[in-house]
Amino acid sequence: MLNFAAEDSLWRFRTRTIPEPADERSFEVPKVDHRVGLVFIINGMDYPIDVSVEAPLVTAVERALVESRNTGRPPSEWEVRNTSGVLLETGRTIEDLGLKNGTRLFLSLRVGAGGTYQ
Amino acid sequence: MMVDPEVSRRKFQHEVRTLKEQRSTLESRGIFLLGSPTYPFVELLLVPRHLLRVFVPAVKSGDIFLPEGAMMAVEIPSLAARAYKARFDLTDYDLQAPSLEFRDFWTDSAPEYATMFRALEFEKERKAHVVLLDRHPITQKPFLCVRGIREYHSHPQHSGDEWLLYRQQMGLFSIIMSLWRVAVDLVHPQLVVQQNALQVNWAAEEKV
Repeated sequence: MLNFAAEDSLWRFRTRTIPEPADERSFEVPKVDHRVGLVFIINGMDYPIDVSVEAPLVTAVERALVESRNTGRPPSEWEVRNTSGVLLETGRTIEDLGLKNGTRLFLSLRVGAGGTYQ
Repeated sequence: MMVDPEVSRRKFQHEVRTLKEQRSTLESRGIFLLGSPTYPFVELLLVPRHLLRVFVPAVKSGDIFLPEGAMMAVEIPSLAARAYKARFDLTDYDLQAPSLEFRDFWTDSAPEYATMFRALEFEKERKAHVVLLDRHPITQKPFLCVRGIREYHSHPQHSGDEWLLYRQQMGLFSIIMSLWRVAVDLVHPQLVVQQNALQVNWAAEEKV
């Protein structure tokens, strides 16, 4: 009986020490290091959004529009430009676009223009 | 007058406060808020960005003789287009979009269209097109044909594209950013020197 109990506790010990998939995942780089804070300027107001660098920019755009209560129009009607006025592809990831922590981005409805040809 | 002036005045103050908060962003783009805005007007100075590009007839490039009619382009570091004033009128804002008028910075007079800069938009499908047009059917003045500007929405050709569809998403700051794109960021002044004439062109940078 005593021997059985000893074996049982040994078995439990062994089961606890066998690495499980959850333990293996702990070797990955923590996700917290993969996040950046982007600042969206919408109508002159700043909206900071914390987002994973692996997410497409549109994810952050959607959140910024919700936070600024600009939900009346779909995200596809909005465009994101950097401080140099360059249009950013919202389907690309934040990492691909090279956006760093604290980057300021202009989020506005696309310029709708009439006009004529020269 | 369609809106209680007190309502419009408060919205005006909100827009001016936003412009003041974003002053450094505006100034980094060559946009300067002039004086202390008094309802219903906001005046901005827009400083053109790109250098004047001069095209002159060229005969030779190094040791190579060029075909007749060949031109050579040179950017002049000390020359660009003139700075000008953009005057927004927020009467009846925001039931109506801000009205925009351009003025000479030194004389405060409204310039003739022929002597003005040009504003251009570039789109992937439409390519470059002029958005500063002459003679608005109502005001008879030059106007910026861009969404968010009163003269655009009041133009008969845009009667289906009402300001009220956009006013929640567009404030004065974002309208000014649109103005910056079409009137400062994209436009390059060009001077073409011909045998007996000078021609002024405005080219749009192909930037979507």
